[in-house]
Amino acid sequence: MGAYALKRILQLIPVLLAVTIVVFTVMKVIPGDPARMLAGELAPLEQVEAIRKELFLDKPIIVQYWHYLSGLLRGDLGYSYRSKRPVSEEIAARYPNTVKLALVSICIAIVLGIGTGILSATKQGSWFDTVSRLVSMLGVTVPTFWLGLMLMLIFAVRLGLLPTMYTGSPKDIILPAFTLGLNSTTFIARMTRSCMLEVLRQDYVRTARAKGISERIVVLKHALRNALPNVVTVVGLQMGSLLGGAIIVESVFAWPGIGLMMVEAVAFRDHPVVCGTVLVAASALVIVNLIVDLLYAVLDPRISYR
Amino acid sequence: MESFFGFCRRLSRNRLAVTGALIVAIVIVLAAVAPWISRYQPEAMSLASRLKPPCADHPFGTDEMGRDVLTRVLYGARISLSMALGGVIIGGTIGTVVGLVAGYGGGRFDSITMRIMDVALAFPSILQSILIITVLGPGLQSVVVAIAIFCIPVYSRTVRGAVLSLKEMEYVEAARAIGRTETGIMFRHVLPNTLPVLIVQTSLMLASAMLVASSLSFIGLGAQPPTPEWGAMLASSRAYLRTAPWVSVFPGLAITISVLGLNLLGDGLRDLLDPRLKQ
Repeated sequence: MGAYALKRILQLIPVLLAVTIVVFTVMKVIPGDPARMLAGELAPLEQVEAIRKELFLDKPIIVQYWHYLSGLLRGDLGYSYRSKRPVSEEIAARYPNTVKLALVSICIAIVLGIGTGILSATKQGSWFDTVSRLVSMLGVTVPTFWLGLMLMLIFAVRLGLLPTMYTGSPKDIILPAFTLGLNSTTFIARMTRSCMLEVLRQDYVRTARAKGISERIVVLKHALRNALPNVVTVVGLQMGSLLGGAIIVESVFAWPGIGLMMVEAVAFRDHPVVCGTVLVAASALVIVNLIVDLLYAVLDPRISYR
Repeated sequence: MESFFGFCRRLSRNRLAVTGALIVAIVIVLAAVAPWISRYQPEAMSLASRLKPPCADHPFGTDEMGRDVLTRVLYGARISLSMALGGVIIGGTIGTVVGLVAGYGGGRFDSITMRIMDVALAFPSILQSILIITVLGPGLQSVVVAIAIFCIPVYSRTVRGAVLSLKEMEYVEAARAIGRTETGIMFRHVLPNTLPVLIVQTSLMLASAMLVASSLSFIGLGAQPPTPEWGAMLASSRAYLRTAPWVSVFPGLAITISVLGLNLLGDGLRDLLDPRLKQ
């Protein structure tokens, strides 16, 4: 297991490097002069040149990339054109909100998805199974932003139970987290149902039943444990779509995370912030995928020996 | 190979595919005949009839500028479909050629391009699109380019996978034995046999492309007002959710129904053409 974990961590390095190359390339091809943008439209030429030197923009592209990479290792993501503050500081202030939203959403998705999947599989062909499969199909087609607007219309505007926007109250997270989590719920429910159906047909499940073990223990202890590795993979893959979805959901509910920050930065042409937030989001995704792979190996030890 | 009519007969027996195909056909027809269905222009404003609830004159109501929502939803189908179709055709073509050459040729080109595709797949489509729009600036063309770029790795990976098994087939060996060139074999024998995979992939990618395009317009990076695009319409409707919810309901329903149709069609086609992918 240790060797497998080390191998996977080492494989992470080229992927992260590639992510930095993509973001760096984008920063280089964006039209406009970064030194001029930072100095301001009316700044004298000497000041612009001084900034250009300070940011190594007068050096060859390879040298610029090297300075960009070494800056990243020190947590330096450049300066925002708009606020003139370090991008890393701005991200640090808003990233916890995105993490909180993603964690609450994935918890909702795991509980609802696995619960629905187990019930659907154990009651295959029942009305519950039919309804949940129908909802699962709709869940992947409804656009996240529209779902958010409709939940807002029902629970905030019509019933007045929840706030429409971020106000700082603990209740604020309910609507965005449900909006973000419902799409993942449908994927997790589908995967749990199909894995459980497969496992419940296995001989050892029949043996466990024949031994007189209660159905609850057969389902939760014998079947679920063996269906779990595939479900964990889907949960991991959903973290990627959650991250993408968070950008949209944060915009719908004015949730102050890095998704909203990214969208605002594109609108204001604040390129260092766009690139910084994309880099952080993509790196987070790569790391989450690594954690899922390692978890997968813990749940199914055969993986680490392959 | 099965005849076209034989395939259509099998397709007509698959309820999922038929429902999906019907929905998609209705959306396409409505988009095509929009000027004959509606007597309003999608961008014609009438401040005297702003935010009117659904009525006989305006079955879907009017928006904040007094524009007929039904007309805008109908014309919106043209924009949403063209954006998705344009992006998928461009990205699909490039991705197919890359996947074909990588899978058939193998070697260094294969390993280099597939590593690049792995990196591209590490970025969620919306992040990729935001990066591309940062470079190109917001607008419909940028969205088409963004869709094309996120399609390339998906198609190249899928086609490469299919080509790896197809190139070991006996007919490829037979073509080589009768003196066909490698390029000829690749494009005349291998490529046509990837068609089932390509058809399934395209219907599913069109659904994703529609969702991405409308999401980008919703966050202000795609179609710009007053263009009647579904995502952009929903974005401007947000301010009137309390007073005029119908402005938000119908464009969202239009996206959901279209994506549902494409997904059903894709799932049905997959069951028919590539049953191994069913699981």
